[in-house]
Amino acid sequence: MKKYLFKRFLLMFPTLLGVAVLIFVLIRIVPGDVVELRLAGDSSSVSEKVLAEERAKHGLDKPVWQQFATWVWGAMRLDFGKSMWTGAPISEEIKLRFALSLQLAIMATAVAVVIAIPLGVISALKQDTWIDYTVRIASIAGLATPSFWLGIVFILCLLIFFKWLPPMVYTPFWVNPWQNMLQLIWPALAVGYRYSAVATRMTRSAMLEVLREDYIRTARAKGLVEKLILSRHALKNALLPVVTVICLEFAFLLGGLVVTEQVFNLNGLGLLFVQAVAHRDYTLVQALVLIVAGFFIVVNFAMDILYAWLDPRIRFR
Amino acid sequence: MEAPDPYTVRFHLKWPESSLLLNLASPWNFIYRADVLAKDIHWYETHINGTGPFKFAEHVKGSHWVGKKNPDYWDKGKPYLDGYRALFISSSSAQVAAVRGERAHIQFRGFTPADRDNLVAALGPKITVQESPWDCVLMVAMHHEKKPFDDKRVRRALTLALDRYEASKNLSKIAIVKDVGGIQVPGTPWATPPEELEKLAGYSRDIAKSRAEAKRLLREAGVPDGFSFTFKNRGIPQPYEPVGIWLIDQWRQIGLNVKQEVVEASSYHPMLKRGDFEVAMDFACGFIVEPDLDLQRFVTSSDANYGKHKDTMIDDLFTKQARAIEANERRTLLRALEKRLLDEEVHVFYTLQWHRIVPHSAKVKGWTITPSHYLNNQLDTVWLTE
Repeated sequence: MKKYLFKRFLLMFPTLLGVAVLIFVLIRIVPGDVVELRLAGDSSSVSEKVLAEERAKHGLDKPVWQQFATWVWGAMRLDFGKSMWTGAPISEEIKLRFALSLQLAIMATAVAVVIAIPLGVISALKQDTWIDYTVRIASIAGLATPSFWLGIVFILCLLIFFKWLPPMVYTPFWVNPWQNMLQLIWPALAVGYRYSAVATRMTRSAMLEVLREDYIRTARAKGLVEKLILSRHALKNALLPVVTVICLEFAFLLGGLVVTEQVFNLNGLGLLFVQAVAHRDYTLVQALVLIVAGFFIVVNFAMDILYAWLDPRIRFR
Repeated sequence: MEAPDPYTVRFHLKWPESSLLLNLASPWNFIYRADVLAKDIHWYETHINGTGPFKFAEHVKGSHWVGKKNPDYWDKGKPYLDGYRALFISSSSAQVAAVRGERAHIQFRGFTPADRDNLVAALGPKITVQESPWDCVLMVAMHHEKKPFDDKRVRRALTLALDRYEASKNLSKIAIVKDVGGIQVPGTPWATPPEELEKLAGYSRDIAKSRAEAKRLLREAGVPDGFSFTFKNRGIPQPYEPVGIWLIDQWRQIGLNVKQEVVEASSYHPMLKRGDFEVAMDFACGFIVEPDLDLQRFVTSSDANYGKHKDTMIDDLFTKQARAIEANERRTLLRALEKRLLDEEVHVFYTLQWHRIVPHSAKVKGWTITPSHYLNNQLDTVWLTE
């Protein structure tokens, strides 16, 4: 088991390096550069001399390999440099937004898990009954409904029926839990519903498959209580693909909620990402991609550990 | 330039310049202490030093900033507010929701006509709407080094195809454009009177006659019916998208087949500078309506001469109007420049003037809309009712 985990841990580093190379090259292929956009982006006139000086200030006049080496060396020490657009340290730009995005991802995941696993299990157990049909309709509706659209509906309903709008400025949970929840519960519900739809369908189909397995029939034949069969033998085995879906969605939520963040005016990583790309803010884009990729890798690593716990056969491979 | 005493600065010019005082009043200019800047010329990039009605209190990146009343403000008794909070809201629907849900009292830049109507319908007397012509305009740039746009007959046909008066009625219902204007914002001191405007190519009220003339010019220039070209537009919904669609429809009516290519907003200006277009949307926004500021872009050597026209007569007229001392003389020169630019040579042409719409909470008093969103943001006269 330890060897397996160690191997998985070591694999994280070449993956991160690959991501670093890829994003460093890709962002430079896109037309336009941060200096030109910042100084002359809105049709103002700036001389080539000033542009060259500004490029030199950001080290953009150096050979590409040298820029890459400097950046990687900094990233290894968790120093991502300064934003080329605002001049502020990257850590400062990301800190507040990371807290908001992480909290939203956790809340949406919690909403999804609370809805998806019970509904998926019930739907499988009551296959082809009205309960199953209702759950399936609700989950298909969830898949077909973009979370940002649901967010707009939430906002309109709150405005029309309660003449109220969630707060527009983020208050950290530890500063004022009530204000924090008032702001984040709505996007968490909107995102969590779509997310739960995917997980519900996955739970249902995995449960249906497991319930037809020989070992379930054996458990029933030897007279085991149904509750135990379901929780210990069926659900635990059915959870493997569900865990994969939940973990991958969770990792995606960290930087992938651009439109939902706009709808609720959340100062999150998704919006920062889009702005950074629009500004060709190389250092910020590189740092964000690396952080999101790192988060994905860590979540995948956690998923591997969870797999090993759920399915003991994996531990001995 | 000299400073004879602490409160006087004297500029010595080589010639009279009409726009000097207005240029000095630009909101982009700021006055910082000389001794501070002498120590570090970049000090202003991270510090605030001023005499305004509010003091900087807090800035949370991507979220908001807060200003608090300056007790030492030079205009005693002002500002009326104890402070304010400015929210960063990038999505227009979230901006509308913020005003509707009373999370924000006002958004100073402007809303669309549809947003205005929705807010008025939802809030009734709780909302006040202020509107004004806006010192921003979308123009059409044609690359003079690319065929067939090197031919002024073709450029003239493109402007003749536009029914600006009908567009003013219809587009103003869905986009932030309204008035038909020439080289200056309608209603301002140097603007072209409507009866003179109608004499310019593309401004006639008889659109059937204009389009017949446009078709004749295209034929004469050897442009076949159904001729196809690409029109590049900036990837911003308002008002670029509706105005772009309108242009394509108007050109279709003189037998042109136009493909629109929408370019991401941040890449748009570099694309214009490279001259990587046949026909493209050009744009300008000013802080004040002043010919020197607005027309400098049409001078041959200007960085904003994206169509790369070469016209010494325009250059000469621009210089002369800038140095004119008499208002009438300047007006005559401006009309001559306008005729040359929009009618005789058609180096570029104007679409419709932007129209600024600010629906705000009726609690907000003491604020008056201006033709520029860069101005009147100091909030010193603003107060709130209960």
